[in-house]
Formats: sequence, structure tokens, C-alpha cells
Amino acid sequence: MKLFRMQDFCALVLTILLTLIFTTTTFAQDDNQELHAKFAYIYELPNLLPVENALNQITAQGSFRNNSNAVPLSFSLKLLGSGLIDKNLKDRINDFPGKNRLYDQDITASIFYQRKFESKDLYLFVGYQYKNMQYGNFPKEALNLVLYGNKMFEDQSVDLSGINFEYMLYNQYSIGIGKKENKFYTGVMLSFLQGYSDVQVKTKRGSIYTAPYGEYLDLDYDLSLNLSHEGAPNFFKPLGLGFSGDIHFSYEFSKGMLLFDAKDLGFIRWGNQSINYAKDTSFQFEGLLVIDNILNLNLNADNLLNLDSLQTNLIGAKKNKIYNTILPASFQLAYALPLKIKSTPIQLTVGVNTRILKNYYIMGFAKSSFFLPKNLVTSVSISGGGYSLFNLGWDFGYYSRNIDFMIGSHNLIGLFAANAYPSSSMNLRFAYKF
Amino acid sequence: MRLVTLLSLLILLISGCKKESKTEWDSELLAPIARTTLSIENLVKDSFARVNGDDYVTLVYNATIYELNLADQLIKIPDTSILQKITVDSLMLSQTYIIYKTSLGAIAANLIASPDGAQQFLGNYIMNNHGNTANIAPINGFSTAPFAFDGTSYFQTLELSQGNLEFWLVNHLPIPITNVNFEIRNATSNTLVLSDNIPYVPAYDSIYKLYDLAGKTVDGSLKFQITSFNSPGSGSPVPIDTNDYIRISGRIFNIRAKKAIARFPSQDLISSDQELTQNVGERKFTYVDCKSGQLEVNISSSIQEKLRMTYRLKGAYNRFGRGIEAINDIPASINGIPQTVSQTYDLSGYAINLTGSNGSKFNTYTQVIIARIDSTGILREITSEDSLFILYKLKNIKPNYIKGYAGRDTILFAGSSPFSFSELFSGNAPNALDFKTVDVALEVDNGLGVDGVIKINSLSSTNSNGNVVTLFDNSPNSIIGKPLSINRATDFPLTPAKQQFTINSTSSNIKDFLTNLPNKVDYDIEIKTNPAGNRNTYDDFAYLDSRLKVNLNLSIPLDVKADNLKLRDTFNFALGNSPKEIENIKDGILYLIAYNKFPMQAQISLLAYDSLGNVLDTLLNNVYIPAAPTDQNCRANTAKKTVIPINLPTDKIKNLFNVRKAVLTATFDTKTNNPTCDGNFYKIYLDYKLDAKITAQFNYRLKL
Repeated sequence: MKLFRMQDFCALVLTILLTLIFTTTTFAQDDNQELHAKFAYIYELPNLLPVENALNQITAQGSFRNNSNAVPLSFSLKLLGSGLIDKNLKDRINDFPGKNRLYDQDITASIFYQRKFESKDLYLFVGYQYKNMQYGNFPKEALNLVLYGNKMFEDQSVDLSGINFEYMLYNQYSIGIGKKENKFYTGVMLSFLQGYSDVQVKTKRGSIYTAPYGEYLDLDYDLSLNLSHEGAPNFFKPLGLGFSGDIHFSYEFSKGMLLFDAKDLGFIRWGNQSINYAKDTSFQFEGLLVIDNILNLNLNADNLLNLDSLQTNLIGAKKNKIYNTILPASFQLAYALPLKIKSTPIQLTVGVNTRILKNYYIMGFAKSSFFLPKNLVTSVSISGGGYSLFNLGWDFGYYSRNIDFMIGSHNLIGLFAANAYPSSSMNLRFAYKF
Repeated sequence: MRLVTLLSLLILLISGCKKESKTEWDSELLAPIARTTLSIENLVKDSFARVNGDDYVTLVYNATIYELNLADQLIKIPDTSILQKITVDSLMLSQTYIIYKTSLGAIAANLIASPDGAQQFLGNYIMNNHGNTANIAPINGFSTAPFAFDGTSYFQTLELSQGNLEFWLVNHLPIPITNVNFEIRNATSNTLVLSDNIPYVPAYDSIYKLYDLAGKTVDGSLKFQITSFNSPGSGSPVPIDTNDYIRISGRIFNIRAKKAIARFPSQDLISSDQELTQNVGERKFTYVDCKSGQLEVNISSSIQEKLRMTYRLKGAYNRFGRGIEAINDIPASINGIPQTVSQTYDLSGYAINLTGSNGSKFNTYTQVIIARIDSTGILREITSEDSLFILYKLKNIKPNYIKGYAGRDTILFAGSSPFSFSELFSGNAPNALDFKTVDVALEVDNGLGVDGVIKINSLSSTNSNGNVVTLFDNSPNSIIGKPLSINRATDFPLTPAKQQFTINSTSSNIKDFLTNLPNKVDYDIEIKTNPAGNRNTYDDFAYLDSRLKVNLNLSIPLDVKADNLKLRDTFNFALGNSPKEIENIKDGILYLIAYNKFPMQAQISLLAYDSLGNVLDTLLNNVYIPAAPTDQNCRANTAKKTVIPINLPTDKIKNLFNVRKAVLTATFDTKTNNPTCDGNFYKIYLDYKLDAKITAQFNYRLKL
């Protein structure tokens, strides 16, 4: 398993390339600006948006999103990639408030084809999405234990309870349909999910006590670990199968548009090649652990989990067991209000969204998109909630009769203060209409 | 360092994957890495330590200085060969019948044929008056022709050792007969077998006589003849019927021949109990349980008839209750040359009664011999001189168990036996410890059911330098040079008799004997069995593996003074398995956390070794560890904790890349912070130990 995969990288590059190709070949100006809400500029872009001003649309999209109350971008990048996590960075993470360290992180690349059946105001969607999704919930002390070591906890007990972590990779094949009835538009999408890698860790209970001078360690934990496979994952191998659904509703008012989206309502069932480790144990480690010469182990997850003695003593015996992952579905409710300030069309979008994750707060957001001359558009946004604190965003785009392009971030502070501020994101979208 | 793994595991699970390039960060880890304990096991070999009720340790050592397999000597049964001759004591033959009958008409006809006119007249008179009632005149000197009896279908000749002739004379004539003379002769040799005279047989009456034929020789062809008889006549008229008769019946029966040429009927020619007594000196065994051994029986027969031999060893049974019995055919001797058959019986696992057929003998096997012939219808000559020669060979008898009287023996043995007192301890303990008391006992362990007397002529300890200390004991109950009675073991189940003879340390030099640190003990011992002789109870017993052991039992309470007592332990100690792993350690501190529960202070040293046993570093050198506090009884109840830091700068850590073992040495001295115990002997309790834990505080660079 790799944290940052070639597939992730390729998907992003492909998106950028597609964007550039379409941009350079189909760039055109459209002066026909209308004072109505544009779907393309709401905060979180749904997949089930109707095609506007065309019968067909191909959309390529890529995004990286890290939403956390303590993990800055530089930490994520070093963890995903390489580099030294220095004391300043560790201290900065430690300084963030909160008893838990929370984060969810997605890397997504997608391509969709949309077809409008004009006579019936019917829309068809066919698409593929690559999903790299992980989310975690750790007690603050647990992360500090990892980053600083246990010396700082001498004669103290570190709480490791309630750790919840999942990291999954899957391909999503979708087909959807949308219908517009006057001012009401609704869309439904059903997706087949082909999972090819998953790690799921949970602790019901956990603590580690370091005696003075490190005379002994008291470990106590109830841990379960599910793995979709052993060894390197295969992009095309369906280790897990599942389904998910997306729903979109929107209603155009005279002065704006109300939208509701639900995404990723579904599950993946990981097959019988899956591996389960479970250990509910409590022991005192006095330097005579049955695992001798533990440093002889090559410390990586694959090797670690293949060593019988370690499995047995630390995480229990290996079993094959089918398990399920319930996708962290997300919900968004937004209202888009088109305005005009000094002849400049503006779209103001406010709303809330949330995700079905533990300790995930409802995020509120407001976004203002400015439709500039020469079919340029720029947006600024603010948001707060979820796992994050305060976020400031900025988008820049271009639109025409055939083109819809946008690049931006919802977390500019985290992006530019990569060592100091948690949460970060990047979005890139290109749509070609014909 | 194992904490590194735990932390790494955690973060790996968090990140859930492996990468090509490394993410690194520094972490300050604090964890135990090694542990060792210096305890009573490092002082003495634990197999010799015994704990009293209050956890007070006593050193117990039992050394067998001599072990004698007396049983092997006492129940040794030599190979024995015994030849026995068994003769045919009798030959049984079938009974034989002789019947002779003559009528009045035949007698009349003989009278008519007589040249005597009176006889002729009388013959005619009888013949003429057949059916009438008339007076019959006297008859004198009447004889009959010989009557031939052919018994050759039964025998040719018999030389009888026993036999009877049953003679029954029936006079069915109207007149009495008198003075009847008859004889039986062998037809061919005309030798007289039997003759007799019957004086009077009334008319219509009979007479019975039984003759003894013992010593007679009888042919198969015999002649019977009434040589003469008379009659006084009727004296008055009597009915005359020429069909009236005289009948003589003879039956030869109860025949036993000393020699016979005969067609013998089926019979046991020999059937007898034979006793076989072995000579095993003074010993008188009544019972033996054979572990192994063979009985070989060679039987030669001079008998001209095939024999069916049945052999049975009486009173011998295996554990399934089966006896020893065999049936063999011995061919008939040919031209007087005896025929021989051999049979070997495996006595393994057989319990055998040795008291003979009447139960009053010793060392005696009883066997039943039956030699039987079957009727073949062929004439054979068998005499009572014909014999069976039986050669018994008892070979390789190895008893599991014997019972009886084991006899008297005097066994002298002198020699030496390993006795390694110093090996009871670890390290230099025997030199560094002064024991308050030493208890020693000589134990005699008698596994034989035989009374005895043992005398220790001398006992001395010799150390590796050749220094000899001879034990003396001035007490009234000294074990040296005095006969010591040994009781017998009891049986069912076998329970050896154990007797201990204490060697008092105050009246003997036993402490010197031991502190000589012997590696062997020299002994000169004399043992006598059954010193009172045969008590006629015959209840001595011995098993094959019965032993008589002479043990020297030490009991040394660990009540000691220590002077420079070194306890040492080697334990696994590694910072990592490869330099690559250990290079992640930037620097750190090792802590040796010592818990001393010995009431003795110590200087400790800690040396690090590589896998080849080379010293890499001296981590600690004679660092003082205080003694555990003691109570008013000089008993340490709690351990004294001491933490000793060992700085490990980067260059020192590199020196420890290859450390695999460490040796902790603690040198104890009997000094204490309790003034009442200074200089006294200290009891060593089981819970006394020095626990040493080594922990590491490392600045470690974690790499993922």
C-alpha cells in the first residue's frame, strides 16, 4: 500500500491535461450573461447538475481536500511523501485546541458525460470517479505519543481510546438521470463501487502507561484492524463491491435557487480475502516481551502484519473475515442568490454541509462569485465547521457557451500557511459543452 | 526500543501504508529493554535448594557414594544339567478267555472207546439209558484230550509280573465229580503254566478258583487238559441226559508283563512326577519369578513303539495363568538304538514353585512325564527294562524375584565415587560463604528383603588438588568402624528400608570434610547379609533390580556470612539487530534500576558483549548498591531501589551497535545498616534477589 499513489497523481495530471486541451481548443467569449443562479458556482459542486445552454457536456474534475482541526498541509504532504517533521511543526500541531485530532481527506478525479433530452427536459449522466478517501479520529495524546515519544508521558497514562481510522481506494462507475419540471429539478445517480484497497482501524479502549524511568509500560487496548488484502493493491482487482447513490434537488425561486444534495449514500462490502485482526488485551511490558528482537522487523505495515508472533502478541491472530465500510455520506443545503453590483453580476451562495463522521460539525459557508468581463469569474468564500476552524477560499474561472473552467481552493490559509494552519484543498474543474 | 515498534505500528496503521521515501521525525522514547535477576538460583543450583515453611532456604544434596546390586548376586541361579532314567514299570495287556466244555454223551463215548470192559459197559449203559432214570455206576481215571487255545492274535509271549487266572468249573451232570486234575501248558514248549486238583464238585453245581500267574511265562498258544477225574456215581437212579455237560471257563486278566511280545493296547507306559533339584549352595529358594531363562529337555527312548510324550512343569504359571506343557512324539527305537527328541521351554515370565511335589523341598522343580503308546496292532517286544533317558538343562535363569532363604554373604567393597560439593553452588559461592551449620547423614537404603549389617571402615573426601580429609566421628554413635544393622525391605509393594546414621558436626570433622570441596569420596565398606543365619522362615526376597544404596545426605541451612560473594548472570541485551536500526538512535541514557533484597551490600558491574563474546563496553564498574533494610531478626522484607544512569552519547551508542549480551555481576559482602546484624550469619530466604531492570531513554529518529 502506498499513501500517495501513482493513480492519484495520474488522475490529477489527466484532469489538468484535459483541462488545458479543452481550454486551448475551445476558448470563446460569451457575453450573454443572465441574472440567474449558476450551478457551477455554488460551494460544493454536485455531480448531478443539469447541462446549461447545451445538449451535451463532458466534465473533468479533480480535487484534493484535507479537512482537519490540527493537521496542516505540510504535515499531510510529509506524511504522504517524505521529509522531516520538525519540532516546530509538531509543536504547532500540539498547540491547536481540542481533545481529539480529527481529519478527513479526499483525493478525487472524475470524468462525466451529460446528455440533455430537451423535449422531455430529461438529463442522463454517465461517469467514472477515482476515489482516495481517508478519515481519522485520534485522541490528541495519541498523536503526541507518536510525534514526541512517550518520555513526555513519564509516569502518565496516554488515552488511546476511540481511535477510528479508515483509508480506502475505490473506483466508482455511475449512471444517473435528472428531470426538470418547471422550476424544480431533481436528479438521482446510482453508482457501482469497485474497491481495491482498504484499511480500517478502531479501538474501543486503549491506554499506555509509562512508569518512571521507563521501568515498565502498561498497555491496555481493545483493537480491531480490517485489511482488504495483503501485499500491493491492484487497481483493477475488485476486492470490495458496493453501491452508492447521489440525490440532488433544486428549486428556482424568482430571486434565487435552493439546492439540496446528498452524496455517497452507500457501502462497500470487502470480500472474503479480507483480513481481520482483533485484540483485547492488557499487559505489562518489562523488556521481556515474548517478541524478541522486535527491531529486527522491517517496520512497514505489510511485514508487520505478516509476522505471526507480532500479530499474536500485539494485534491478535490473523483471520479472514468479510466486513463492510459505510461511506461517509455528505449532505449540502445551499441557497444561491444572483445579484448585480454596479453592473457586475454576482452570485451569492450560502449554505451548510455536513458529513457522516464522528465529531464532524456542520459546516457553514458563504461564497460570492463575481462575473467579470471577458467571461471571467472569480469567487471568494468563507466557511467554518466540519473538522476545520475558519476557512477562506478563492476560485478563478472562465466560462463560455462551450467551456466552463474553474480552479481554486476553499482553504487558502491552510494552503499558503502550510506549516501553521490546518485544512487545505485544491479544486480543478473543466467542462466542455456541445 | 520496543516502544518504537508500538508507536510505529500505530502510525503505520494511521497512515495505513508503506512508502518508498521516508517521513522522519524525532521522538524521545522511554522503555524497558532488558531485565535480569540475581537470586538464590545464581547462588546455588536450584535443584539442590529446598525451602522451609518460612521461605528459609536449605541446601540439600544427596549423593550415592555406593550402590550395590546385591540381588544380582543373591539370586544368581547357575546353569544346571540333570539326567534322569525312567523305566517302563509295567506293560498292560488285554484280558484273555479260555472256555472248555464236554457233554455226558462225549464222556460215554470216551468210556465206550476205553479198552477197559467195565468202562465200555458203563459208556453203553449211559448211552442206552438216555432219557431214562437209572443208577450210574462210579467212574474212575477218566481223562480228556488236550484242548488247544490260540491267543497268538493278542500276544506271542508274555513274561508276567502280574496276572490272574479266573477258573470256573460247572458240573452240569447228574453225578458229582471228584479229584479233577487239569493243567495248562505252552503249546510249543510244552512247559507247564498251571496245574491243579479240584477234589469234589457236586452234581449240578460249580466251583470258582482264582490263580496267580505272576512270574509265569505264557505263550500265545496254550494247551488245556483235564488229565483225570473220578465220580462216585449216582448211588440211586437219576435222570440220564447225554446232553448234560461239564464246562470250564478261564479268564486271564490283570496282566502286567515284565516283558512281552504282544500287540499292546493304548496305554500310558510311563506316568510319573519327576523332581529336579538344583544345587545353589546355602540358599534355599521356594519361589522364583523368571525374567528370562530356558529349560531344555532331551528325551531318549529305547522303546520299540512310538511314544507320545507329555511334559508339564508343575507349579509354573505365567501372568496369564498358563502353565508350561508340551506334547511331543518320540519315534520307536530301531534295532535297540534309542531315539531322541529335544525341546526347549522359554521360562521368561513364569513364576515357578520350587518346593517340589509335596511342598516341603527347596530349589526343586517338579515335572510330570507321561509316555503313552497307541495301539498299532503290530507285535512289539517291550520289556520293563525299556527306558526313557531325560536330560534337563536349566540355562540362563535370570529371576525377577526370588523368595526363600537368601543365604549368608559378606561383601567387601572399596573405591571412590564422584562427590562434587562445589558444583552445588554457582560461581565462587563455596569459597565466599561461611556456613553456620552443616548436617550430614549416612543413609542406607536397602531394597532387599534380607537382613544385614553394614560397617563403614573409612570415608574420606578428596579434592581436585589431591587433598584428602578422612572423616572421623568421636560420638558414641559414630558411624565409622562400627557395625550398623540394616533392616530388610518389605514386600507388596516393595518398600526399601531406609536408615539414617547422623554425622554430628560438633563431634566430627564433617565440616572440614565438606569444605575440602571434594570432587570424590573414597570409601571402604563391608556388608553382611543374614548375619543370624537361616531362621527357617524362608521369607527373604529379592527383586532383580533391588539395590542397596549408601547415600551421603547433606543438609546445609543457608545461614551464611558472605565475603566477596559474586553472583553473575548473562542476559540478552540489544539496542537493535543491525547498525541501520541503531543508527536511528541519536543519543540517550540507559537506566539500571536495581532492587536489592539481599541484606548485603553489593558492587555491581555491567559489561556489554557482542555475539562472539567480546567485551564491547563496560557500562558499569563496581557501582555501589546498598543492602536491603533488615528487621530485628535480620530478615530483609523490602528491596532497596537504586537507579543508576548510564549516559550514552552518540559515539558510545555506535560502539554498542553489535551488543547482544550483557553480564551483570554483583559482589556481595555481609555488612548491613542494621547494627544488630553486623558480622552475623544471615539466613538466605527464597525471596532474596537482586532485580536489575535496564531501561532506555533514547532520542530516536522514527522513519516511515
